[in-house]
Amino acid sequence: MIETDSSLLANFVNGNEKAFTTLANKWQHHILNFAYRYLGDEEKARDVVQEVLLRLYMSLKKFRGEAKFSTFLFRIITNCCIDTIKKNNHNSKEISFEDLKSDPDLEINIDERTVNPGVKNPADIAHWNDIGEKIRNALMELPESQRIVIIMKEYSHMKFAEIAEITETPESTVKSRMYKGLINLKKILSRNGIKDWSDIE
Amino acid sequence: MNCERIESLMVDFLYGEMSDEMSKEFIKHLSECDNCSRNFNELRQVRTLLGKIPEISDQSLNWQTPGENHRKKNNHLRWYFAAAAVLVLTALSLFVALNTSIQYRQGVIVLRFGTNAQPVLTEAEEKTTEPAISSGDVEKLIQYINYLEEKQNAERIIISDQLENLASTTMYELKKRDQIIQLLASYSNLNAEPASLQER
Ligand SMILES: [Zn+2]
Repeated sequence: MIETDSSLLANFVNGNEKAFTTLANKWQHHILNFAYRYLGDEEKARDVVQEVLLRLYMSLKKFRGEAKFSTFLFRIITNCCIDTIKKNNHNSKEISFEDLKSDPDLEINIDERTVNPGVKNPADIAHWNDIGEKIRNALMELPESQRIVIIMKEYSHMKFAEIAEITETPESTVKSRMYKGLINLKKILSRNGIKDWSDIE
Repeated sequence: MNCERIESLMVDFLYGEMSDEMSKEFIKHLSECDNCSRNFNELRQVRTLLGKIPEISDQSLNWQTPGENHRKKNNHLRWYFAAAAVLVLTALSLFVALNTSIQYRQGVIVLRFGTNAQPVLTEAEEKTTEPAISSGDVEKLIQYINYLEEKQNAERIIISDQLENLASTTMYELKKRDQIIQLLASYSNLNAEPASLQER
């Protein structure tokens, strides 16, 4: 029998600790890979999984089902990722959940921007043989607000309305970030060596 | 629909979040407009690439609930945590009255006392190391709890969901004996602990 999130949740809230372990095992792969796409760092992504599950464990007993479980979970994931970026990023501009909400036109001009350090150094170029690595690195060059929307859509397959709810942003803003993000990715990838786009289908 | 409108609808169509009727208009425009058609094609190509990001394995991850961890390892510890819970809850209720803030930030508990206070407890490190707790330590904690309760005239503490949540978080993070003691100490400095307790 496949247990649904809601039945596991109900069991956990009623005192069944094992239900949480099942829930954790069910979601940890997705959380890990979501964070990996957002943070671009495997080790940090692993830390985020632990932190997300801990926060989830601590807060689930309060969960009253007023939001969808996935909405609740992805808020926690997003917050943990943002905290991780802040923690590792003392000198650069701090971002916050508020930024994701209130910065509709955080757009960079990719063509004029200087190359992102740490992405184009020789050691990294070796990894770039792999197209997957190229796109992953390109994703890391996007502004946070565009990256998160792309990951939620492409990796977590959420509806725009749900992304809007999680990020507390109007749906129209979510869509425009999605559009700008994809356009920017295309520019970054063209700059970083994908020349022949006709092959890609 | 004009080009501007089409552009604003591209992601809707790309991800199948468009009504059939609108989709027809959208497709019609694309068939008549090279510019929009080219733009849309680019988006599709980027989408294809996004699906190629490799996944990493979660095999080495192994979640254990905080409760499971503690119960299995040490019975003493269970008592200790129970005592710590009461302590934290009692202390919290007083902290609130004393204009004290407690923040939980990613594995770190920050306590602030008064308006200009510095954080007393900054980091809960070495999460994996369990403290060695002596019966004396637990006794001291319980004495202190009793003292706090007396001071409050045995007024019952209302445990709100929020406090309960914070307390369990705190319990999990404050594994180290020294940190509990430090918490006690910083609290007692503020509240002029009676001499009798210090002597004991
Ligand atoms: Zn057009």
